[in-house]
Amino acid sequence: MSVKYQHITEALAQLEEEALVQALKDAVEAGPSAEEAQDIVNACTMGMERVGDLFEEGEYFVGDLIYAADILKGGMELLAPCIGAGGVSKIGKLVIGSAPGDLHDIGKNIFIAMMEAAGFEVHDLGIDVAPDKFVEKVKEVQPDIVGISGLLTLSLDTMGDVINALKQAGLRDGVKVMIGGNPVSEAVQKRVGADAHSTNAATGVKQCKEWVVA
Amino acid sequence: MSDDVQKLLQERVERITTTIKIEEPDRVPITSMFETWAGHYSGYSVTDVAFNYDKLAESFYKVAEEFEVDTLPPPLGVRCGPIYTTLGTKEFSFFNKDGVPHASIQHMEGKDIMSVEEYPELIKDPYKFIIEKQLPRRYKALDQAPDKKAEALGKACFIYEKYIANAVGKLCGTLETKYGIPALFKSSTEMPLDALMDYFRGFRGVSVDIRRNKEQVIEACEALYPVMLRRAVQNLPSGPFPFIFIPLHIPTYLKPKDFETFYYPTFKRMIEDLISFDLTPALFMEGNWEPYYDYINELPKKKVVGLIEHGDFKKTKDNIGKTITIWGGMPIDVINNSTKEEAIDYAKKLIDDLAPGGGYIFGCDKSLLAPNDANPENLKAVFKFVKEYGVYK
Amino acid sequence: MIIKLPALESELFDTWEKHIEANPELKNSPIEAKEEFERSVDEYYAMIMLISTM
Repeated sequence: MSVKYQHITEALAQLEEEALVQALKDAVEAGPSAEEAQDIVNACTMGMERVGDLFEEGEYFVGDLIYAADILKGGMELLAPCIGAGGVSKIGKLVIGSAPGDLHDIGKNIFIAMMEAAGFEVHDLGIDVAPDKFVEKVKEVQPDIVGISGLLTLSLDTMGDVINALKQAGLRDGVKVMIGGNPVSEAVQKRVGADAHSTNAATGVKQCKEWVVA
Repeated sequence: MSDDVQKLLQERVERITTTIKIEEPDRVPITSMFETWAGHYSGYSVTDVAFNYDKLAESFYKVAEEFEVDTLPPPLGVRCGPIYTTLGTKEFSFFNKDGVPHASIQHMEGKDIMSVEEYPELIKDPYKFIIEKQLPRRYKALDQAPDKKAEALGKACFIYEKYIANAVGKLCGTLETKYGIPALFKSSTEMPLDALMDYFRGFRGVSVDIRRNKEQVIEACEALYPVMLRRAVQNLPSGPFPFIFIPLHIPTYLKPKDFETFYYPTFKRMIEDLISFDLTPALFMEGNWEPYYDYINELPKKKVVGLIEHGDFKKTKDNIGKTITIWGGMPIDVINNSTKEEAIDYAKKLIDDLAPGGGYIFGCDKSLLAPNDANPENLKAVFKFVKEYGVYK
Repeated sequence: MIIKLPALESELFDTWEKHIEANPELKNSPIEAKEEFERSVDEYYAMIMLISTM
């Protein structure tokens, strides 16, 4: 990992928006090669990972994750001219959506931002996603992981509906399923037949990385 | 009111009044936030209870008859359906376009209600900003020519009056006179930063505003302060309990340093002002409040109730149990995913850890909304157990 | 309990004083007229505050 862009990692990790924006502008202006552009993106990924660590350690809170995701989005826009047609390399694929009947998406969007930063290709189905839409997308992109997010206690039941639909379509065994959101728990995970649950975006991302690296 | 009912009422009032002084009453009081779940339990839909105040009342009387509760909050979380439909809300939905009720009220965060450039306007005159910009952006019927807007507001006044008289006044009155169950809250409000988030800038907005517009966020909280305090204290009904319900939304998403800078000043002031009026703030401390317990301990002692959602409850009692009355602790996750015996064991441990010294009210960790939010048999069994086991010797 | 409603400051907040300035013939209205006027302003304001923060 190149030390050349360490200051970018640090700026993002410390949520220093001005420093990050300046560093990225300078890096882009220097006319980086395709490999260097990938290094810059990796520097951002490491910065976001560090943000996730600080969140797990109890230093950062969800408000900081939202801000980090916002800064990162701005950063990626600045880098867009440098990133080749092939895009950046991906470590895995995620299909994610809010559970049927659930219109909330802030937590899901934080998770998506962190997953993208970690190098996943993310297919976001949006909110209130019917089971057959999950099935359709999984058939189409053949992801490693399916994520179902929910804020309402109501969604705990509909998460089960999605997983059952995947089973019926013969797709369940080909993916790992993670359920996420405030009301999920181990008991719910067992009840609906998911592989993991997460109430914490950072640990959720870690689990997903473990799944694709294995 | 019959003598029996009068006696029950007095016992319950005394039980809770003693508890919140952090002294030991005769037994641990029991209550929970029953919202649309009460409707589901009676076979009513969300639409039924939000639009038909008789069905709403019936649902609550059934809860009073079947669950061992000492008090009940008014059904604030059910919301007044007709206000939303008459004003044309974009944020709350009780039924879909085919009229089929949702199983739980859908709440979408308002979009584009206030842009970051509008902070100076809000700060200068919040009431004006609300009338001229915020309300029309949130409610379609208020985004019309002045005559039509005035008409919509007039209608809202009539709807609101009937709602207060029936869904709150008559319902709580009957709970008292027929069941001896006093109403728990007199009114509700929000802290200024939560109001700024919920009704103006949104969660994402406030999360970045506290970095990029620090001073303005602080000034906006100051500007909204009299508005939110007035909301708490205007037109209070009579009744034995002085509770003002305040759900706390943003704190646990902020790191303590940000909490201290942006949330705490108006939070503490609101609590102190309400106490100075002999009112008791009943805070719904959503999320995990452990990182902020030092701030809680700076509040006036024995004057605040906290409905606590998450955390190590024994640690909580040790930490803040002499400052505030703790309410809650019984996870609906356990009520729903355990056997009756396991749920009762869990409740027993809660009583053992939290009851000593008083200052504990037993209840669920979350408001009961969706049909499966609480397994009724387990919930009944647990409340019944606490009524017997929670006796102070 | 003694509740002191915090003062309201707004360009749009109506007062009895503004009202009799616009309608001088009402200057010597009975006290109930002033009281009901002010009460209706307060109630209207409470209504606005409620629907704007719920």
